[in-house]
Amino acid sequence: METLEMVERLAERARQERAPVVRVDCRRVLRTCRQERAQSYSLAWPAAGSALAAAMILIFCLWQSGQSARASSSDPVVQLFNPVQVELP
Amino acid sequence: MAETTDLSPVMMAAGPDVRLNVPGEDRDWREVQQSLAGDDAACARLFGRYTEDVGRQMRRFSRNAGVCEELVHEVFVEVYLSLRHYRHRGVPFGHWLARIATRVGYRHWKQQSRRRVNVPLDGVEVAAREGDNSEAASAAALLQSLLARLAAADRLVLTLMYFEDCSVLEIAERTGWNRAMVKMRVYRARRRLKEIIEKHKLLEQFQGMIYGNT
Repeated sequence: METLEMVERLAERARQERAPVVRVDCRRVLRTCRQERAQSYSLAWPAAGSALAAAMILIFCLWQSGQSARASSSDPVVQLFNPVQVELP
Repeated sequence: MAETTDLSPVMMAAGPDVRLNVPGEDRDWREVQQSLAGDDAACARLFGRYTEDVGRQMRRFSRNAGVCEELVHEVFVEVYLSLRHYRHRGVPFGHWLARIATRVGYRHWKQQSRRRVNVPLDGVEVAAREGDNSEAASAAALLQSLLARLAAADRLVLTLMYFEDCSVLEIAERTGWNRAMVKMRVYRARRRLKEIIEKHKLLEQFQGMIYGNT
């Protein structure tokens, strides 16, 4: 008999094994679920808060750079290097 | 199986396999809805009906009774946390639960392989240590210890094939891998298993178990 054929026969025998009684404490399952959910919420809020803060800082920086660019465009030195706009007739 | 209305603190596995029972599916769906609405008794009834199935499945991932119970607990925690994603019109609840159980068991093996747990290659010895000297238990212990020598993915496909009698399609559904990948894994895993058996000269032990000469 071939090796893998033997394994098939062994598996057939193994499938007849009686499964032992398993106990599950439903209260413990529910308690674990609630703890995990609470933990994920407690981790989610600081993460969301820091993401929001980072976004606000980024918006502020962009706004600041826009302001400074606008201020510098009225500077005569900056104007010197600005391309000359030629009005076509 | 008679339904209990109270929230029993300990659910014991009992009752027939209800996976293919169509009215049972409606009952499952109703209890899923009730569980989501915060009815703990409905949740206990639902889990209680599937404890035996999940227990039998998790025994294929660990023969240690304590570890097996912990895995069953982990499966139900994951089921409860993903309950709101379950859709009645897709797959029966039992099949959906079996997929989660497979995922939990596979994760356990991957963690175990990181710790490099070694399993003895003697089914009789392992079964005797567990207090079960039946031939079926010895055969199961030997086969599981043999499969433990394989990589986790190979071990999974052969476990589902040999112990759960799953087809390639069923393995693909349980694992989420495509059929071609499962076929390839089965082929490679069987070749590797053959090498292990021949290397350790285990054919005689097999014959003893199959023909009852242990």
